[in-house]
Amino acid sequence: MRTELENSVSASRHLNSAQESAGASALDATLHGEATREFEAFLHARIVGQGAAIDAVTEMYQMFLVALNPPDRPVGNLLFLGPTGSGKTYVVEVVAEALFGDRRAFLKIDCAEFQESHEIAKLIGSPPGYVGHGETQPLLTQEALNRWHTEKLKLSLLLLDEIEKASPALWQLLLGILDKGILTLGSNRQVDLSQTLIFMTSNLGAAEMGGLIEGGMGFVAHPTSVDTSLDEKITRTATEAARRKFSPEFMNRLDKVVVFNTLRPEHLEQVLELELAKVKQRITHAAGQSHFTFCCSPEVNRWLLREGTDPKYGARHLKRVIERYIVYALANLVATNQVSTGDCIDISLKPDGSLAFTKIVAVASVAAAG
Amino acid sequence: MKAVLFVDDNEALCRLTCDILRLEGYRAVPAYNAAEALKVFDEEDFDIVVTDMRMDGMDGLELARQIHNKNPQLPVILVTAYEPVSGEHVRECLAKEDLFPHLLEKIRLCLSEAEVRKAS
Repeated sequence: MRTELENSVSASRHLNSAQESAGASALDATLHGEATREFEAFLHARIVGQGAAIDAVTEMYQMFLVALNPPDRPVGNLLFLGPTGSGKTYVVEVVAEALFGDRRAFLKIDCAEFQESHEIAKLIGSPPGYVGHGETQPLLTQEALNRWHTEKLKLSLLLLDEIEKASPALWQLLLGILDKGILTLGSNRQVDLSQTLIFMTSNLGAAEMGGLIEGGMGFVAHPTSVDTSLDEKITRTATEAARRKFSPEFMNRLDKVVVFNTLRPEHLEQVLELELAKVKQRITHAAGQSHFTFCCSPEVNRWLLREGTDPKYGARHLKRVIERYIVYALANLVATNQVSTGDCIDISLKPDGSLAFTKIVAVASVAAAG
Repeated sequence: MKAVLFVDDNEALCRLTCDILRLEGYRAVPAYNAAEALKVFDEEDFDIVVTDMRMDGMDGLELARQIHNKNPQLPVILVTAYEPVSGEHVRECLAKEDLFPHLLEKIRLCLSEAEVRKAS
């Protein structure tokens, strides 16, 4: 009888001779399929400074597309850690937009609303015989999860926001969901999460991260920009905080923990560009036939960045600042018929620090006059 | 989610304003003239109406009067590029040159007053 070793040597010889006769070619296991590449490019065009998050989501999506994700559990369990304003929820929104064309195409559970054990009934419904049974529609149902499914894509996105605030009862549910991909509702109906990509976000370690960003207490210079070593410290701080707070059972069920980087000045500039491009798109869409455009001087861009961002809160306020100082003003110009089709509005900074809006040229009227 | 009906024959302004209102968390519905506004008003529920004063066909004051025939408690804000207008059917009047951010403040104020009235 041949030993296992002899069998293995024989198989290896057979493989070598097959390679010699057929011609061997090396394979690249890092390549992505076309759909995944498009998905990844979509994310890269809209998400700034968070490459690790993009890589993690892309990997899960690729596994899902080729049906290689482990059966009988969710497609992926991702934990996003990081400072506020670094874009954790935004990544989920962009993933939803990439897959379903709508940023709201995911089910969001705000764990802060389930801090008491009895509040779990809002999530899964009350069991028969308990007060409220049949009266309140559970939040996490198969219908709610599958709401955005299409003929081509039967994938659901579930966001569990601020996971550290969940009650012990929610934790028990979560462990089951993350492990088996099954949730039993109060009505005994089962919800299948095996076609679901689960995102969990947490601000754990936020205070320590804030301390790192601000330079800590005492006579320490506050960092004006963010360097790589700061990101490493933030990663370490967030991961340690997660390990302190979350049980090993929970951590073992995660496929990937991603710590979001603090946005550097060059990232914030890219975020500003993206946000201004979105506003231009909105104006074009809203103005329809009578569309116009605008451009901001470099000084205005710097001013918007100063007003809308800071190392502690990232780009959280940037959208609001653009809305308040640019969009409202443009709407007032439209309301008073000061802009018309083809106009380009130049936005510059006046010496007193306020914004000046100047009509550069009305393309249509110049053409008409010519 | 509170619902706002915004009426203006300047379509660009109408859409842009509704866009801003949606970002502020309202359900905003545009109507490009008074007749269309009355039709939409009959089909959907609104918490407040904001209308331009001068429009072809029916002006904002007449629209406010007809809306109050259907729902006397509904706040109506009038916006105008001309002289301020007042009347029993107008809760607030806003100059178009000061539309933003004042419109958002006025809407918030009118809606919270309406809530208080409803509660009492």
